[in-house]
Amino acid sequence: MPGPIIRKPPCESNAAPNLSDYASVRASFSWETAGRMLSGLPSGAGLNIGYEAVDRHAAGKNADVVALRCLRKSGQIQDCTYTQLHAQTSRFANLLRRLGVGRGERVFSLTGRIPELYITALGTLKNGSVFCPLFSAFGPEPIRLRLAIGEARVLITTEALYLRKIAQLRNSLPKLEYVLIVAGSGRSDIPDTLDFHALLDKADDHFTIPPTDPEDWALLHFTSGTTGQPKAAVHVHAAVLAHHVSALFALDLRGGDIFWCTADPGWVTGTSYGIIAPLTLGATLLIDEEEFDAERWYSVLQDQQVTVWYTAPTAVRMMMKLGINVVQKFDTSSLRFMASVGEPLNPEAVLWGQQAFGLPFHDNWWQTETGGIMIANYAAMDIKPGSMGRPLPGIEAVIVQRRTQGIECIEQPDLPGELALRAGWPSMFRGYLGEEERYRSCFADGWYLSGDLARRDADGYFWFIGRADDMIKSAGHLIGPFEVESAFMEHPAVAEAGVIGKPDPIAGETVKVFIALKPGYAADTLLQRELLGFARQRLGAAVAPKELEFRRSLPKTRSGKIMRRVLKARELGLPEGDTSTLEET
Amino acid sequence: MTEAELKRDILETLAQAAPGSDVSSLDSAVSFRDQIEIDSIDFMNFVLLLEKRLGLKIPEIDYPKLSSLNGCLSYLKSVDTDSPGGV
Repeated sequence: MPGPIIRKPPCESNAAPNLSDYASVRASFSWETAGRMLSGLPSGAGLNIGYEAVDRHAAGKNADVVALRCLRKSGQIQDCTYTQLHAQTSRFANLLRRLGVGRGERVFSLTGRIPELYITALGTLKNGSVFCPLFSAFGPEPIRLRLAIGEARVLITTEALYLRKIAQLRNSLPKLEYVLIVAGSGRSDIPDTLDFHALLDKADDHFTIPPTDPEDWALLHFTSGTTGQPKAAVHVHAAVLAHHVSALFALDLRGGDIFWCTADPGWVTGTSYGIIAPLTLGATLLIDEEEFDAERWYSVLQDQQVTVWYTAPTAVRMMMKLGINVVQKFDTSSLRFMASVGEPLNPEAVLWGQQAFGLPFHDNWWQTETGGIMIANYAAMDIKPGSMGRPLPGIEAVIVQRRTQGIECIEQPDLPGELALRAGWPSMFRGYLGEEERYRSCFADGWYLSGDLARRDADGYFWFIGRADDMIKSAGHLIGPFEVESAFMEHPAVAEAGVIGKPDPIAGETVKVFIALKPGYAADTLLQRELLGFARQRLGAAVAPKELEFRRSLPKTRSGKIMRRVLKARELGLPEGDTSTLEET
Repeated sequence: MTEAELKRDILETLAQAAPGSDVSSLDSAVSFRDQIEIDSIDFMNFVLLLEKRLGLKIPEIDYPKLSSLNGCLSYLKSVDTDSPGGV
């Protein structure tokens, strides 16, 4: 089982990584001491993510450093220095204040990766309101649910997305008071909406961040469950310390870097590391509005002189398919560090990084609930390809077994169990909005239970095994089968729907649905296409199944619950495990 | 194969890769992704289905050339789609 180990040479002092001695830093680390790396609001008025990411740099030596470099679809490059970002985010905070939107109130975004998204996020945080990004590839149904659960008061979106996805939902969202439209060109005059830039231009660019308690809510990130509605994980301003420290250690990020995180801010990676962390370090954040295209990505790495790159396994595997020769047409020598997250990166992909770019990909592990990287491969630590690495300084990780009462830690190496983290790190989620019970059930005996199965080897490296539940990981996105099944159940022909993740060489898993039809409906190609289309229109391309198979009936427990586990085992030709509760086969 | 036939093949394949999408009124100069809901996996499936339908092999490096209707037409016209299993 053990593959080749990528050995890291001893550090030369002039090129030492931020974390050059894992063991000693880990031994002496405390969050309290690390907190001194942040500034805190002036006059001891608390801690605000917006201040740490923007205002403190605008007032210091980074004032003229480019904070955001946006590569627009048009080909245009838009730079925004920390000083300019300070002014724009202050305008946005003033805009919210003028609308009467205050502390704790939710401001949502549904846009592509455009500068306005970043201004909205940081301005919202400065105002003490709560920022919640939505993925623009979601269909109307996931959007409606999330706006409703999150009690959105403000939404920032574009003309096209509004007309395609939001207009039809307005009547069902009474709490959504203001929709701000980013117009394609000129001003937008869509009824019942406001023009983003018209309001922004009128707002004052001086804004004093109000006193912010580190425990004040800052961010909402939605994540799916195996049952029930999507959950909104609440994160607080204190999380910024974990964003900062984890980027420093696990991404080896520092001021002066050109950093490219390819994740969309609609997902937690795209916010924690695609907005906040690099700015707290005074780096330049590269933003690419376009979607994946391997050759174009290489040209971005080359032309923008990217130094640190954080991407995802699906993208890496797509690049691998294209071959190494294509990479070698480009000069990517500016790269100093490459990392990956989303689902486990296969050993071949880690090694491919070394052949293609002269650097391995450093895999790391975390979740929406953890708010930041928890377990990682570091610049100065040997890599065991396929392993997620070792816990960040300040993070205690163990493998546990759930018992009727509490949990039991598994000390012996290489035994599988659930990955658990000692509760209390700064970016730990503080709740699922309105779902206290669901939140409490994530913890036992002072540990956060991740729901991921893993093992720890004798050297302290963690290895991902799978999910403890039916959650699906597709192209780095966590997809809840229940939400997908619910969409199919709305179709008149569908009697039963069961959704699984099917292993896929590129995406990790793809979503597959099994459907049992009501009497009188014929299981033909036409209906298959119609049902897939029906789901896509509701859920969007990122969530809807890529494959549909008809079954006469689906395996269920005696209480009528569809056994996804059995569906999956049959699909993969694996043993079905304990089927003692199976009603029919 | 006439241009109209080729266009029909492309659009039918696109509808197959992204069921439920309205492919009847696409702007042929604008990328599919900017007009209908498809992600990178759908796009890959589209190219694979296109290969199957037209009986040719499209190298990965050329995938980006197929991102719009015009792109597909000019690329596919440049390769001989009539020779079965052509390269």
